[in-house]
Amino acid sequence: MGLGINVWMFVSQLVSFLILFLVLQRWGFPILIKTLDNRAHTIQEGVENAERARKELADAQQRIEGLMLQARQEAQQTLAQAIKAGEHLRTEIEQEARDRARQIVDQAEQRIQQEVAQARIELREQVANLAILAAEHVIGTNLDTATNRRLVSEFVAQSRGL
Amino acid sequence: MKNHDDEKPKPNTNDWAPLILLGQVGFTIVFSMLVGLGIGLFIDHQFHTTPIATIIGLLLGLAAGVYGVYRLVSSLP
Amino acid sequence: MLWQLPHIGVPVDTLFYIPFGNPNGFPVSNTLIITWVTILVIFAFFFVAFRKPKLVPRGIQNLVEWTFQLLLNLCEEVAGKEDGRRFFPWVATIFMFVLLANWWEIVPGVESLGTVEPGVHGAQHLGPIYFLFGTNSNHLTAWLRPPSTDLNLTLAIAIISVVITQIYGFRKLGAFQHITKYLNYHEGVMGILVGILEFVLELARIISFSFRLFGNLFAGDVLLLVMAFLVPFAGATAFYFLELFVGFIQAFVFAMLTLVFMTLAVTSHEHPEEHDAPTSGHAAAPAHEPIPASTAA
Repeated sequence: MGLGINVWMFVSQLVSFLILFLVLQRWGFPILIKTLDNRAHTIQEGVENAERARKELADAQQRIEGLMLQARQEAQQTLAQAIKAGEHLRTEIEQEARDRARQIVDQAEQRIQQEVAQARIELREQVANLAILAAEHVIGTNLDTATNRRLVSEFVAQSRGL
Repeated sequence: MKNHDDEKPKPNTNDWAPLILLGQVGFTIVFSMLVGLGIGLFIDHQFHTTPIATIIGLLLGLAAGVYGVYRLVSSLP
Repeated sequence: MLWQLPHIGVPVDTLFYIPFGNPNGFPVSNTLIITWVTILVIFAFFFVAFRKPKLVPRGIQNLVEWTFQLLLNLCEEVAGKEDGRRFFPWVATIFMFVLLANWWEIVPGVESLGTVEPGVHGAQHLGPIYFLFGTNSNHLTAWLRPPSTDLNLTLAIAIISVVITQIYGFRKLGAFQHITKYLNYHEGVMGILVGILEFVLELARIISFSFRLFGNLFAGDVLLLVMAFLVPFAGATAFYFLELFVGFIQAFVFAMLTLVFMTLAVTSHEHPEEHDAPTSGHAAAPAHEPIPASTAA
């Protein structure tokens, strides 16, 4: 034939191709498919793992941010509280100091007055004694009786100028 | 199922199929007519009916070609 | 004249006969030798690639896996997951074999090493090796010829492709429905006519498959030889790249058409609209279920 088609050559090519196919089908393709599927599986797993890791990382980041925000807020709050407490303490101490000062001043004044009163009493007594002594001297008798002493004291008390 | 497959990013190699089918269109008509012609010539040669079977075979081949092209085109997405 | 354009005819040359089978012996052509070398190369590829498969592929394993991964994705996309995996061995074998068979045409020595024809004078020889120059340079029977330029091979693969397609259709649709594709008696005269047309189409497909591959590769082979003759040395290099590309495209087209026709064969011809969902087993299932009221309304 002009096209060179020859039964034997045709059959030999046909058989050759079929042998190639059967060998590949029996030994070649199963291992190929298995390898490809394994790879696809591994890659998918890897991608999923990476996705999960990224998600976890993002979660952790978010959590850390939340914690930091919380910490910052707490610090702020604590600081504010401390400032407030300090302020309070200051006013308290100030108040106390002021009170104390006033108290001291009051006490001092009181004592002075007491002392003044005491001095007055003593003075009065001394004046009375002096007066009685002077009167005894003048009269020459003993006037030192309870009645007289009261009379003189009253007199001295009436004379406020002393 | 189709949607599930679409989710995976893959090179869309499916684009090649219509192109190659379209390339097959010309071949289909030509070779169908050749087959029809061959069958007609064979029958005429066997039964000495030249040229009836040849003409019928040629027409049959043409019809087969047109039908084949119709089927090819209708199978395109 | 540096050399002559070689004789290259459509029929292949028989190198020798193995005394086996028929009275003349079993003819071994120069394409059959390369067919076997190609098959051994493919085996070698698989052996080297998958002797110790690694998770992270390198070198040949990477190349082989990358190629087949693309083919597998292609099969699954065109034919659906299940059928795609079923068709993949055929598609992959055809693609790989045809690709390597095509690329033989750019290998040096193919078509240029051979036996000097008897009765040629003026062959220079260096020991047992003869060189042909000038006007004698085409008196040579090549030992090696690209297998794709042999119609016997392209026809063989085309017939395998069509027959396997038929077998898949037969298995998928069942004997009865498959045969009614060709003997469609219950639709009257039109049905029978369409059956005949289907049959003519199958024959035409075999011829178109085989002649497309043969024609492209034979033309490419002749082109390379003519170019080597017209623009010797580096001038023909550009055409080598062209032929690499053509060889790839033809292998891809052959494998793709096989895949597409297999997909068409397993989709019922009575309901061509089901082609959109070529997932075997699932397409038929909803038919048994009552139609939900919502979709019926």
